Amino acid sequence: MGRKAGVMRVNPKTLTRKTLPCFQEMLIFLSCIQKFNYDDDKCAAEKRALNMCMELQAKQPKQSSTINYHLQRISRMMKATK
Amino acid sequence: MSRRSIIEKKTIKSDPIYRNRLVNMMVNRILKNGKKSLAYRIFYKAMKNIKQKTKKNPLSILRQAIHRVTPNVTIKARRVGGSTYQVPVEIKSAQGKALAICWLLRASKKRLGRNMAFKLSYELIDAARDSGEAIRKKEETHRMAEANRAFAHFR
Repeated sequence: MGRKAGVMRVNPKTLTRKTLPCFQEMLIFLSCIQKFNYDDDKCAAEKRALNMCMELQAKQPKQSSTINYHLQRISRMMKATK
Repeated sequence: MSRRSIIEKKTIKSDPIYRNRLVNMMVNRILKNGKKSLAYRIFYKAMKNIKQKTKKNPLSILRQAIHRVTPNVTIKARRVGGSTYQVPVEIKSAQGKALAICWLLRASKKRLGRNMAFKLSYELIDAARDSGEAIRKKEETHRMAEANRAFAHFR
């Protein structure tokens, strides 16, 4: 096991900026419950927004980066043209 | 998680009497030592007690109790730069329901009462009324999440 030398590859995790979904909704909900002394009934709208956001995120398909596929392809092209 | 085969999702069964999946979830968590019939007995007795006490539909009381005990945010420990922070994170709906049922059962076990059916019924009635140990646990979780809200971006 182990990669051959001269293979172009990047770690996609370090490249893509981490997007935090539902971040705003969560912050709004937290500030709301603090304001109303942790009484959940008063923050029903914020709770609903947070739940809808979470459901939407669960339904969306995960987008994985294809940069390594293209890098591998390009490195092969480069080797072929050398 | 295996690389070769994809695991099929289990079909969630429903309860034989109430035809409800939430009820089935709860009964499964009451279950101990493989004694499913005992678990069913405890649950149905608890429903009967709730109906006697409140004269309302026991299923609606159960639904309300679980709805009130479900948390929306919790905290997760993360190590960032050498120190461990408690980061608030949202909870998915299925996870939240499972947590709610777990807390309700734990709280009813702690109670004083004749038997589990009574303890469970009192805990559910209290939770539907916004009181009781399980609700305290949920509020505590929300409190901790709110207190650590400054670290939310560390997710």
